Amino acid sequence: MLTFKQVTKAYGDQRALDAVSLTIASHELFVLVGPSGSGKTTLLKMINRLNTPTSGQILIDDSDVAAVTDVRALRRRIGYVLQGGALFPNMTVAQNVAVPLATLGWSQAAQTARVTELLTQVGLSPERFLTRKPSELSGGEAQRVGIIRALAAKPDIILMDEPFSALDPLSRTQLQALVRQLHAALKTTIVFVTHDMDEALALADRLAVMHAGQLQQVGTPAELLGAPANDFVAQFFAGARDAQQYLRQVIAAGFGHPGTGEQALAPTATLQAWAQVLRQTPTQAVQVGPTVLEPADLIAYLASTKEVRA
Amino acid sequence: MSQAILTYWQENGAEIWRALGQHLALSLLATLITMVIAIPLAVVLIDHRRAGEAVLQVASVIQTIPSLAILGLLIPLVGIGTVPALIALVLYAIMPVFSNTYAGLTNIDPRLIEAADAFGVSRRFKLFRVQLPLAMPMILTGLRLAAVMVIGTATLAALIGGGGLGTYILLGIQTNNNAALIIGAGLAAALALIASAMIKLLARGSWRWLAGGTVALLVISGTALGVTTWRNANRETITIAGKMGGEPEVLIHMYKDLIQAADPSVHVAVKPNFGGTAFLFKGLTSGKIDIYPEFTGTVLQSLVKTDQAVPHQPAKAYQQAKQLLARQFQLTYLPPMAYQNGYMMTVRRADAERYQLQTIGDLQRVPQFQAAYDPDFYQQADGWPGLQQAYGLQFSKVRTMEPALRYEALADKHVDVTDGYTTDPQIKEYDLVVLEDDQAFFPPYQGAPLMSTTFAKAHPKVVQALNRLAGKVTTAQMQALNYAVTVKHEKAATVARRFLKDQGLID
Repeated sequence: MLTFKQVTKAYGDQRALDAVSLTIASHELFVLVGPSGSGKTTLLKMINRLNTPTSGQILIDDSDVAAVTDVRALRRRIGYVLQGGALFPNMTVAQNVAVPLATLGWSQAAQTARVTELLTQVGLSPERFLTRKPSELSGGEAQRVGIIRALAAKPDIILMDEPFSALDPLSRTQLQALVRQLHAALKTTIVFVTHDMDEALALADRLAVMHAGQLQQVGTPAELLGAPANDFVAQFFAGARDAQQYLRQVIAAGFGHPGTGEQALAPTATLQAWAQVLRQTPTQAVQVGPTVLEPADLIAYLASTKEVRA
Repeated sequence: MSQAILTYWQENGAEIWRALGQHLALSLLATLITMVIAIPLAVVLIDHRRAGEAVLQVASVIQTIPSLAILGLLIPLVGIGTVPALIALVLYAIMPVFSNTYAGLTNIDPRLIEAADAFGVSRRFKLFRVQLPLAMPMILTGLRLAAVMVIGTATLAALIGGGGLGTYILLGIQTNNNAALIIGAGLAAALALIASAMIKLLARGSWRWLAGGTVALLVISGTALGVTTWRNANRETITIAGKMGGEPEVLIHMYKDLIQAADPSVHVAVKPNFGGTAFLFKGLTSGKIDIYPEFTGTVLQSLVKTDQAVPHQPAKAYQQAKQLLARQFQLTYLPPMAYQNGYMMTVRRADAERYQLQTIGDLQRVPQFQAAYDPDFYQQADGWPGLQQAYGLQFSKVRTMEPALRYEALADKHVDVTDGYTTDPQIKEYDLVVLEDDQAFFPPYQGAPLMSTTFAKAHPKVVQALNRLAGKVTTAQMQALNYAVTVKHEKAATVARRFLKDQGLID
């Protein structure tokens, strides 16, 4: 478990972080999202002491990272993925992935075995990739190698700092899926920083929205989309909210009538969730709070909002 | 020309190879010492940018100091030979190596440094596996620049008795021997190209290979230098140096042969083409060289301080020079040889016969003559201006010309009269006539051995041996010796020994 207590970072009079308090559960895929300059990367780098707070505390499982005397030992327990992979251009793929292993003093044979296993796991053929240099990799391949380098020493926590922001949309989608898949398999705590709200929504178990050094809101994607805490969060997710709509919005648009339905759905449930209910029982009316929505309301609502989608 | 080069190579092959070896050893050692200083310094200063900038400034300033000035400053401190040359070369080479290494190390993509830090790698791993390999192309560029510069600048080592290919370049310039000049310069250029190409090849090798090679080379060079120094330290060495040119080289070989004939146990080191008067005099007064031949005229005009006019009688000039050197510098000036190497005026033999020219005064009769002078002679009071007044001369045209060219111009009838030195071999080569200085206008220039009084007192045998040359070697003989060395390109050592044997001065 990671805990931030009143974390503040000041550069002169400027506050890059202003009293941020936050808890990230173990095994969670947690996304820090916000526009550039919001302080999300600063916050991330405080976890492995690449940056230090002016005041406040960061705890890993109740032990303060500021109290650690051997910073290298702390960092060896935490994986790190940078934008574009940041592979060492003078080393082969195998040597790059083995950097954390060599640092921990693994034998050459154990290193090779682990690197081979990891390459296979992310769909890169070991025979073809072990001896390649980073300059011979595509952007997506390089970032796969960057990810398995962070996984190599089986760390408890992996930090990812805008890892996919330089990739093409297709590679980005593929790698997002890979991160979800690896997280599901490994159950590692992942803290992921991005400025891309679509990416945040696609990946996060929970996410925190940052703006100008202040924490705006923490919650699941559905909670943030369905009930934004303030205008900034609402606007930040406006695009996503157009793409993904909620029963709350249907009611707010004046549809439905008071009464009792056969199945209850939350106001923050999506139209997709509603549509899935209707596919099973096409005639069913749903209960949302005091309001009942009929199947015809869905069609009428979609017909009224198609302009927005375009 | 190519035939001349080939002949010169065949006659001097062994010495040329040795000079090449010296040049290579000096350059290699200088480059290695530079690496050992500059690269660790750059590494230490990676996180101290302000100090790094300061070092860069200092190194740049050192580079702007002319190399001759650095050598001049170093002679009183560390003497002559290899050491000052090495120090000067290292001082020059530090700038390109340091600046490139430092730029290479401080311009690494910050994300890569962050990645290395984030994985908690050891300091050694970060330096040897990340920072140095990534800076390596820049470091090698710096090394390449330094190596090429060092090989070029190392030709200057010859000026202070450090040997190397510069010996042949200086010799070529001084004795008008283009074969020697081309061999010296050509080999230095070839060496620079090969070194540059090899470092480029090295760029494809690994860092470990480079480090290993560096250590091995350092050990080998250090051992070789140490052994040489140790071997020389066990015998007393008398160092005799000479100015640029063939004549001083012949003289110092005569000194060497005479000293060794008198006392075979002494080791005599000969440093020909050592440099100008100021270099030699500084070397002598600081005790770095023991003996060098100097002219009475030069002593009186450039070395000692005196208000008196230079006497025109050779014996008086010598006595005055001897007394002033002893009083002002505690130096001993042995009796001079017979020959005069002073200024003179010369014309073609055909003209001399046609116009009955025997003395400088006779030139009054030929105002239609055109004259060409060495630029110094043209300006100095004891040159053309004084001469013109003393003899009342007038020519149709007077111009200045590069000293080496004016004899050719005279021989080819572009001019009719020129200045020169009485022992110049061209007098013999072009069959010229030297006009008598009947008014004794030119100051006397007689050569004699100069040494410190302390040295003279400690080495009576050396003084005795050198005094056997007093009053010997006529101007005609010196002309012939110079002709053999400068025009015929015979070795100075051979010419000197043959002369001494012919004169019965050695067996």
